[in-house]
Amino acid sequence: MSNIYVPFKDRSEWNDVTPIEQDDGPNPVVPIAYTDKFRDTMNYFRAVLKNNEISERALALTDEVINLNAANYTAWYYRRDLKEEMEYTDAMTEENQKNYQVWYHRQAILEKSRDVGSELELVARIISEDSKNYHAWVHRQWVVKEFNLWSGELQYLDGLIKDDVRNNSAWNHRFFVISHLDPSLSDKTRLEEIKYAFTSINLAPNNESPWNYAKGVASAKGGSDAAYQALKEGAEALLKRAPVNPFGHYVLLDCCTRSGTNQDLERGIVLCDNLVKFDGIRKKYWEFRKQKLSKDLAH
Amino acid sequence: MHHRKGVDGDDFSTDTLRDQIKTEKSITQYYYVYRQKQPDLFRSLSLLRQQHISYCLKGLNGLSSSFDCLDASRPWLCYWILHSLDLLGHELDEDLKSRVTDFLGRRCQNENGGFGGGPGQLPHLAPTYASVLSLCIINTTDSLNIINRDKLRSFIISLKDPKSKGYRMHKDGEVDVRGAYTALAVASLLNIDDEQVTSGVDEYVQSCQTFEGGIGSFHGNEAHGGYAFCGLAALMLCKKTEKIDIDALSHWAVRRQMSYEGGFQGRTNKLVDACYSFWMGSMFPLIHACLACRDPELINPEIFGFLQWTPPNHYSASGRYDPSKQVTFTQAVHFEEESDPNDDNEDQYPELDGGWYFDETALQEYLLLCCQSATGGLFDKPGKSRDYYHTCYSLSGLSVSQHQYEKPSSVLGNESNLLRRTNPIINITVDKVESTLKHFGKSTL
Ligand SMILES: [Zn+2]
Repeated sequence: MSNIYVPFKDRSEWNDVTPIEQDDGPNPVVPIAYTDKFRDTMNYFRAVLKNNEISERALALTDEVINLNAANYTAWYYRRDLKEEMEYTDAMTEENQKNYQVWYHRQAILEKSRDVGSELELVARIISEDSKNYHAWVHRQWVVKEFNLWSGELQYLDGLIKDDVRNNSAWNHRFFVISHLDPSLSDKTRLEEIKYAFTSINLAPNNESPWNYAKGVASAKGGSDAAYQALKEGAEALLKRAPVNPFGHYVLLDCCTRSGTNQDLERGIVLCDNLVKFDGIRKKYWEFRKQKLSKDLAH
Repeated sequence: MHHRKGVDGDDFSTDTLRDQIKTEKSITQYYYVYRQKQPDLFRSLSLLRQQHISYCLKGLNGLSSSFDCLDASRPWLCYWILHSLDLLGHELDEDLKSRVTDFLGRRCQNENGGFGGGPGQLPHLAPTYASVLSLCIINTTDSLNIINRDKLRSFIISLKDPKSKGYRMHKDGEVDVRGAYTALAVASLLNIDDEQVTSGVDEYVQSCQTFEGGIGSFHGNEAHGGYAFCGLAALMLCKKTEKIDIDALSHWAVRRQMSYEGGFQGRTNKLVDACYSFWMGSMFPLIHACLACRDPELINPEIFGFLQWTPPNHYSASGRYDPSKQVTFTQAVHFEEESDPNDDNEDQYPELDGGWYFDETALQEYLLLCCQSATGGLFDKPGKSRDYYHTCYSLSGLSVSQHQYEKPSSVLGNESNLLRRTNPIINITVDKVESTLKHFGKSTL
């Protein structure tokens, strides 16, 4: 295919169509000085839309529109009516990874075709280039759930977490998978997951992701005493090595708040005092937490 | 100056840590100079108001072909620019007001309700939100009356997804928290937020709160600043603040402010970005309101009036807490039998110093020192180029951090840096919220 742009009026197959200019009004705001190519293509797209034309050439035209502006959701929507088309979307996805339309379009097509093909591999390829691409992860979760493809996920995540233990999207996905595999989150699962998180915490104790993960596993679905106990022991052991680690403090503070005994409330107050000192940017918040603990203690 | 603490301290290097260190280094040069000359710089630290105004006006009157890719977001361009100008205190002339009204109201508004991303485009909730807010910023009789409220209401209801109870962004489009927020924000402003519009949204948002405490776009998705703002604001607008675990959300939110940079990140272990000055920053006044619903002894309920918001009906109209209705709260505060929470018992539990639960000074330092373009406009972080989106949300975040409800404003640098006050739930200035609500027969959100 030639890269030279041929105006639509010089394309014989479009002879029968009268282009429609954009109705911007006499004196618009935020007018864009479109390139000639953009303006010309959109004029013909408007004509096709108006006639609600369903044809090969209309499909080819939406291709040109989307190439000029992948965020044109009207063209995507129109295209969805025209054809089910995975190959096209594959190519567009790789080029427009940060675009809502292209990802949602994949979902709509998969929903209809029910042919998941090598979808997870494509998503994995994009994640390998951009490991925290939000849309790619959203899409992965949808595919895994919709097509019941849970079995390889934990292994896939182990690799990603090994590559970058700070990849929070991977930790989030792990929680998603674990919550599916054991929806009630038994103590056994919780303890295993907390142990898994602490393996990473010990590598890099200032990495927030596994801390949030461990805390999330302990507190989900009303929380579990056994899991909180494991969390507490893990945090205490870490604080022996790294006494000013803020995450160890956060976790212990939550354990103390949850327990609610006078002794733990008093300990929580000390933890808040420490955090005011070495987590200064959040000082006002720790003062608030301290105030709340003092109030509970007085009751 | 805010005491700056670099990240991590762990030796174990990965891509995330390398990117973070690179960002901190790029910012050091700004803070280093600032630290050396702080007494002078502090006074001279200035918002480049005139430059920002020129940059915005230029965009309103014409954009180059490099904006082709925003052809489906023209109402957004209007909103980002008009709101920035409003915050900066620039008054539009009548001609410009009628041009905006004509463009959005007569070209982008769909005959069946809702607004498209440009003339002739499908109606979509995101440009609908941007268009309605722009028309409220213009705030003329014409600009408000041009909105077809009946059809807009039908359009909104047509997008409700019965399965998830959230909203689709457009016909057959994606369901995510942006849909719920944009639908409720315009409905509340225009006084069309009846039961049919609001019902079920609370359950949807609740399903999006993650194990980290923040909110993702859909059940299971990672907690994210933009979606978290949308979710929390949507809950406030449908008066179901008790549906969120506010302790977990607060903890997640305070963690997003970067110890070194002073600005906010949008997700755990991501980089600072000026647009989260609003998405994250504005959550703090909202969090204050949720905490005041639960702990009226600790948080002054005047926050409700400050937000132009009426709390759930467990409260009397004055915004005072009604203890007889506390049972409706899942996590109600238990008072002593004989104590009256309206009594003056401040001695026992002193009021906090005031101020939001983030470091306003550090955020303002980041925005003013690191994110202003010398020729106008603001950007994500040093090394990035300015755009209207980051200009709007940086200035909005700056406004949130400057305005307080229990003490006078907290402005870093010259007093002339003070921006107009934005309403953190809707993100147009409070004057515009007030007159819009009045126009449509309401007094608060
Ligand atoms: Zn940004």
